[in-house]
Amino acid sequence: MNGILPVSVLEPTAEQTQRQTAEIFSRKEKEAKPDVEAIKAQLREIREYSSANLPSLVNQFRESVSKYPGVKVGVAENASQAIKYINEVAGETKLVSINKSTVVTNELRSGLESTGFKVYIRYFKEFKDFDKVIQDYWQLPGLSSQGLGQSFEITTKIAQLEATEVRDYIAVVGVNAVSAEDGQVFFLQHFSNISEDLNEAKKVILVVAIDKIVKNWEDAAFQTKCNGIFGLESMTLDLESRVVEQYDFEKLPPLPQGQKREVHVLILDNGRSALLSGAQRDLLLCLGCRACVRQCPIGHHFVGDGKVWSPKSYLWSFLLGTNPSTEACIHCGRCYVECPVDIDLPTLMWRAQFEHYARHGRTPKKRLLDYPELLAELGCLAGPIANWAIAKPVFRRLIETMAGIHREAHMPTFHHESLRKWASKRKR
Amino acid sequence: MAKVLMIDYEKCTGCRLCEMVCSVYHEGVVNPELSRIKIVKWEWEGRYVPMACQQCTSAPCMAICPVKAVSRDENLGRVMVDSDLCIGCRMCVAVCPFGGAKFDSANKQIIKCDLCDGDPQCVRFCEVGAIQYVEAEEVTTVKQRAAAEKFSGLLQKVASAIAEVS
Repeated sequence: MNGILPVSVLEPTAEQTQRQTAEIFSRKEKEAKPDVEAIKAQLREIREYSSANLPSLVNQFRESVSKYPGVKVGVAENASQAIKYINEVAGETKLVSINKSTVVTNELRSGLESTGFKVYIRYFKEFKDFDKVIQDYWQLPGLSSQGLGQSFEITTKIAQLEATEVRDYIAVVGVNAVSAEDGQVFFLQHFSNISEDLNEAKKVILVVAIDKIVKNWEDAAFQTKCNGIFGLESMTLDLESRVVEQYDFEKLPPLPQGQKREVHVLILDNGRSALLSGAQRDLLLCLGCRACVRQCPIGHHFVGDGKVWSPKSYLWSFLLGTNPSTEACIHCGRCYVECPVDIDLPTLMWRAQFEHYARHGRTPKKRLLDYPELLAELGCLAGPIANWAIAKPVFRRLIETMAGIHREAHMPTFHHESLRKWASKRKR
Repeated sequence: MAKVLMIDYEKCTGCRLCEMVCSVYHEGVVNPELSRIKIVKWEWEGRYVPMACQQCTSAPCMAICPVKAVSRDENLGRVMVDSDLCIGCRMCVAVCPFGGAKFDSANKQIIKCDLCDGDPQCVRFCEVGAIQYVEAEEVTTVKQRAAAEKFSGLLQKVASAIAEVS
């Protein structure tokens, strides 16, 4: 081992597809291209192995990564421990650049900001003003199902790169996959934000959520590639020209030559090993590709709060307690269809919500709204009076404050005589 | 009807002159990395395949582009990338089955074959004529003719064989 932790960045590249297609053009006997189902099967095998052997893989990764003399390893049970670790590493520096990783943005960002860090996502710098054309999933061309969009290859190896200009800030970047066998780290990028951070930041903290650890580097590279393949179209949806506060890291003066850079690997558990024994175990199969976002009908309502949203992260943050409920989910099952490793998210959402209510009980308001039969019967009893009341804005305000039904929500018209009564009165 | 690049894999010698002239014409430097055409090689088999954008009619890159920076120029029958609109997300690179779109990471731009505005330099400089710039129908005609020649040769052989027997 030469002492430098190998960090690889995967990007869309043309070389591999050129070669594949040239092969098809020029060879008489055609070799079958790996189809989507074969890729899914291989991916599932990797994910099943990694979730079945989670504790041992964590230990193995920890050992193999600590063999690199230039790397410091931190272990965090939960987010606050991780924040503490980052604080210790940071020292004086209060400027942090993060990538658009679900782990970092959703689990660590708010904690970093509350401890006085200035946190920016460089990703958004590259597209400020543009006319977004693809607004919703029905405008997506569905190319990944045709087997297009599989051209992700390793383009950059940080071990080979010389740090030319080191700047005084900290990069906290969430990885896509790591190998337990030799500690290799893999990233996927479409823009150049991650490689810039890896090259320029004075201190680099690689955040490894424990479910990103796989057996060996081949599996890790494959999993990262799958992140690109299955998350390709979701990424198009996620390109929003939103107003995000920017910081021009390139304007920071480069530090004098010969600065020693620090590389830290932060192994973050944050409730993941607790999943092993529970009903939500399947979540450990997730590779974080965000394919589940693609067709999600409620996804749009969650854009813009600075977090990376996906149905999976919605459930995950509920389990972590940062999100009060999962009831916005309409259980349509489209995420289940899209998921390359077949995680039944709708059922997991139900379960999580049921278990939550079983433990914490429901408020009277919630109980009332959960019982539409009773509401309907009461409405019918009150009949015309109820209709009159519903039409009055004053009562709607009252209902809004008491039961939580929006004052402009469409309400049914109640009839004093029920359908059953009306039918039995009629002569046959 | 627009003209297309017709590539004969059997004629290509793998000299990579086209890569050089392409990068000189477009970027002013000799750098095969910046070339729009790429020779894929299997040296030990003597197999050389020039790969460039196929100017697809229903182009995947056009469909996936989130900002509609990719459009079709019907006059020249080519697919164009508007670098002012392009945000560099590399979606087109990921979906192109021919590897026709490349990302120039130095200038943060997508580069792809633009048929040199109707005068392809690779065609001009290809000594052996492996790349030709022809009318789209002509590709079919050339293929038909080649197949017909093979076929008629076969028929003559059969006819002479029958004549010998009888």
